[in-house]
Amino acid sequence: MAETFKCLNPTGIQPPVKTFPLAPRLDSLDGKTIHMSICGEADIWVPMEKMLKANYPNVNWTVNKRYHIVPMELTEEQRKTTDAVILGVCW
Amino acid sequence: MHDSTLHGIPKLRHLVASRNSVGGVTEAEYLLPLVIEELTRPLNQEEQKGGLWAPYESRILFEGTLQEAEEFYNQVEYIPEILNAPFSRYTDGLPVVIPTEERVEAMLKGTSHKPDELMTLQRDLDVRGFGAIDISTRRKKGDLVTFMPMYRSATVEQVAVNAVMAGCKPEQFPVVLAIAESGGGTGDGRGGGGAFMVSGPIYKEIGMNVTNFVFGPGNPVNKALGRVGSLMWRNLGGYKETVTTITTLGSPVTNGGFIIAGVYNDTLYGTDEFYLIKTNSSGDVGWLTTLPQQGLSWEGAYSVQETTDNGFIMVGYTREEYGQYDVCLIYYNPWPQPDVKANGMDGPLNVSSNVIVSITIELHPSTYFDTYSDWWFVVWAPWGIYSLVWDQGWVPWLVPTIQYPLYHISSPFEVFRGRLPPGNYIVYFGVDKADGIVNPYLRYDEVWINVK
Repeated sequence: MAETFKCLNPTGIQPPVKTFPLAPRLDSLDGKTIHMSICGEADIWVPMEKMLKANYPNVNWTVNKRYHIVPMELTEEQRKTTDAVILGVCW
Repeated sequence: MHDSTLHGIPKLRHLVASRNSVGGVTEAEYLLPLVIEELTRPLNQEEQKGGLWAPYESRILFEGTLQEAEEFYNQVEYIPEILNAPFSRYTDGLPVVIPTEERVEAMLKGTSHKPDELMTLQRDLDVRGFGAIDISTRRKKGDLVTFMPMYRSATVEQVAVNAVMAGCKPEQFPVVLAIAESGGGTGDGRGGGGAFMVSGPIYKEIGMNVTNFVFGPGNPVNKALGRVGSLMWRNLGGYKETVTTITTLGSPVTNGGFIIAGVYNDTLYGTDEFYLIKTNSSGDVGWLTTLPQQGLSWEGAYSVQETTDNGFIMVGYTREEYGQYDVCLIYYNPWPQPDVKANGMDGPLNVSSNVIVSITIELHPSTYFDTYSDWWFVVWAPWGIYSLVWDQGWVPWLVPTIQYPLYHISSPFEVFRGRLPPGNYIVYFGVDKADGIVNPYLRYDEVWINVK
């Protein structure tokens, strides 16, 4: 019978993370404030921004754009007044 | 998706799209209804749960014969969506040396650190960011080493497991620990393995090749040390392509291949110049160039790094005959660099409809001077996309303005002058390979104009 070996795990130690439920979904978009947080290259988000604003004129669209790997955080005021966030990452 | 997990929202809804179509219109049309659906579709039970994400990994991963272990360690998993391909669960894609307890124990004899000691920094460390990753950090001696991209920690024994798998020997383990101390970095598009510089007498003691063909096959130490980073970032750091990070090509240069900087010795004039060679991924020369001298006689590059705009920054030396050496930093961009301005500005330009708008272009062809190319002058107007064609004027959609060799336009050349109706406009000026269509070689500039 072939010899057996104990073989070790190469994986690192993952720190635990507290997890949260998703924010409640919107029943309708009308009259809501929806924030587009765009980071990376413009690309798809150029037509996306145009189409969203044109197709949903009753939404109060707010936008932040940043050429960076980390999106811009919402301000305290935006956190109070924003109903939903779309995070666009384009690389 | 790893970021959402690490920030406590593993069930974050996400959508994926390619970037294949011109201007991204096709992808935007595909994504738009899906985005709206994700905003409005009620949460399911899983999405409403909170809790603790704490994956557990046992010290002994597998028990069996060596043959069975080989099969186990070389397993792959299929990664859907962007990658859409198999990906190795524990390796860099090649067979590994099986990390039996005995082999790992032997590896640990190469260091005085204890097996259960957590990896910590052995010195203060400044990590400089740049471009779109300008996140500089200062870390102190004794801080835990954070293995990226999953922000994990590791024991000395876990590093030794990866060293065994890479084919390293115990006498090389101090170098492996030094590499591990970097914590890895899985790239912003340029590679998941990294490159390492080994200095000091240890390079001789462990038998590295530092003369000819240092990146080539043949020297076991160069190869094993070059490989161990890929395994550590995969296993210790949790790097999983398109899941925990996106590295696109995994090459030192964003469009593939290698960039090499050095010295060009001009035997006719007896001077040295900065020398830059770009190869494709097979090692064939794509282009090479010497750089204009900075007015001195002896200059050369020691190091080169790609910049976020796909140019190259080199550091080297410069000196007069019999003079002192000075440090020299040179930036070089090999790509054509089109520039478009509205009323002399890069934009956005905000004007009223009674103001005359002047749109000018400039072009620096760099290494593509005299290369037959498509020239594009395109406007995205409120009523559609229009191209300015040399002999036809404005035509709908994307048509090259002209096919012509690239040349220097070093002072602003006015292409359009007039008033614009109210609305938002984006004006593009670009050049690419002469095939009549927009292709991946496109280099362009844009200016936004908002007319009220």
